[in-house]
Amino acid sequence: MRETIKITVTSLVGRFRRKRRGRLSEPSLPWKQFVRNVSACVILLLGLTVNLSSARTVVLEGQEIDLAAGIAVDAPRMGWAMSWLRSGIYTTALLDLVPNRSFLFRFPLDQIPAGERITQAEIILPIEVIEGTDPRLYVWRVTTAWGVGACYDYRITVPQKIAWTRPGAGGRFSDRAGRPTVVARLVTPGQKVLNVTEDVELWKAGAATNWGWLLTVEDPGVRVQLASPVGTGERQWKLRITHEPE
Amino acid sequence: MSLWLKRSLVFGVMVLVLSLGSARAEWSSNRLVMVREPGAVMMAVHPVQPWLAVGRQGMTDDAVRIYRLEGNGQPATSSWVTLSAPPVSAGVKPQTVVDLMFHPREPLLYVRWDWPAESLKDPATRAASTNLGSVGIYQLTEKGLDRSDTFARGAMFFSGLKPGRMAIEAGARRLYLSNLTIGAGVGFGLGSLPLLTNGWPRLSDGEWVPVTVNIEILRSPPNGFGFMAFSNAVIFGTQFGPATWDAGNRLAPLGVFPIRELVNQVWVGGAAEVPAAYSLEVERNMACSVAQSDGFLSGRPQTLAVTGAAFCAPPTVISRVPMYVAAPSSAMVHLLSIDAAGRFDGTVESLPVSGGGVRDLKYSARTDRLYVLQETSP
Repeated sequence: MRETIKITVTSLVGRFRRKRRGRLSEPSLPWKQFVRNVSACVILLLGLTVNLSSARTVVLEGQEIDLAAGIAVDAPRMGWAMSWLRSGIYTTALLDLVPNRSFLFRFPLDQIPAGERITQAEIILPIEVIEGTDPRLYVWRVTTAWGVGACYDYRITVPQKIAWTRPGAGGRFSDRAGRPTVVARLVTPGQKVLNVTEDVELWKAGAATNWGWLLTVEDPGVRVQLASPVGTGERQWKLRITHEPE
Repeated sequence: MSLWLKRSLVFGVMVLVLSLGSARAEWSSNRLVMVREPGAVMMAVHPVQPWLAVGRQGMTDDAVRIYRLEGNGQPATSSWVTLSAPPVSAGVKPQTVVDLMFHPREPLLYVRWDWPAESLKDPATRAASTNLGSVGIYQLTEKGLDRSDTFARGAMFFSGLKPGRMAIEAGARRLYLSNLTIGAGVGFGLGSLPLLTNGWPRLSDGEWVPVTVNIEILRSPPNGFGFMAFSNAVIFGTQFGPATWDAGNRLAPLGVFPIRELVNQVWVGGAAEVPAAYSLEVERNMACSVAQSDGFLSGRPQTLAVTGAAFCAPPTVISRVPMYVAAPSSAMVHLLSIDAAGRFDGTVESLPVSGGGVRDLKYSARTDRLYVLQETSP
């Protein structure tokens, strides 16, 4: 996790100094100067207080994903059916999203302190290849528990098998949210930043449980390839959250 | 905090520490059983019967020795049944044992026979491979060997590679074989062979016909580095990491799980009751756990570098709590502690084996003993 604290004290001090330098050439009474200095100090202190208690940004990377599954209709029991090594041989090395082949993942949010307000949340995805006409990537909030053995047929298989409402986490409102959080039009490969503030706010507020997201493509002929979070793309997958006290 | 409470707390911690210490000591002294055998390379323990079998490579007579286990789990001092390599005609080189295993319930021992690669270059021996079986089945009774036969004939079943591990899933409906010769390659396939409920082959027109899969692309020759077998799927080792063969799926039969930390081929093992598969990197010290369910790999892998290890055989899982993955090096047995989900908790106990020569490990839940096979000089 990388954490950055926005401290703008230096800019305040700079402004104060510039202000002082600007006034030095002007004739001024000592008491006026005293008032100016005191008020500048008050502003500085206020600024410090405000900034130390303000927004923080947390960046989670791919190695912190605690649940992951690649699910495909042609390999209904496999938990990592994402990319062909050759026809019929799946590998975890890449993620190839095509219709009926999707990826589930979850970042744990326990590093965000309780009682914080989410001001912005973005997932950053390493997109390597885009194919098809008007390719769009869908990000759905998963609404039900899933885990070990998750595959196209089942959302969990240990200690017992529980099926998705519709295979492939396809049940709207039951397996996934009723509408996608993001529908991203893809033009060129590279790091794609997607706004998921709405979902993270829901989870942190306790209005929904964090079961992560489902990535899909829905349009025939579209293929979106991503670096794998269990392969070379581990550090390229990111969830960037900015939060501040309520 | 009152003095009484403090004293109770200190006493409690001491009891806990002492009990943990004694558990380790008990494990080391009582539950570890050394099996020393000249030329021994693999071992099997019957899940139900008090039998332990040892395979000895390079031997023709006395190639397999079966011992009775005493009440304390120790093998008897002398073997109870011995098996020789299948007889061959004059001029044909003898076969050698490349793996053995017991049926999960029935009194049957399966032995995989093959020729060394050098022997297979001999024309007479190559010709004989079309008639001789590669899987010997030996039915045992309390009196000894009752019936035996060999199956799986033809060049497909002989690769000259070793090891050539086999597996039977808990339901005993399929027997899985490694190192099948498919197409023009050598040792590039896996086979699944149907079994009758009594453990004998389910034949079609007198032949034991396997369902096969070509795994040449996984650069996995030889591929007989251990299995975890389930009703329809089997986990096996490749050069990249563990992989699944879904024998019931023709559209997408294979799923491989490359693990970046691994360089070499992996040994694979596990226990059906533990929801994880374990890989040990051949001749290196990297161990890996991946969640599995019915033979399908799942979730994120976990790796553990074991100090001083150079793994030399598949892992075996000590499924009685506290659970461990037992991993063999030539002169050491490493016990990697795992939690209920089968993930490593980071605790490793390494037990030195005097004299080295460790060739195989097997845990028996029936006797709650870890058997360590040690090859000794003849």
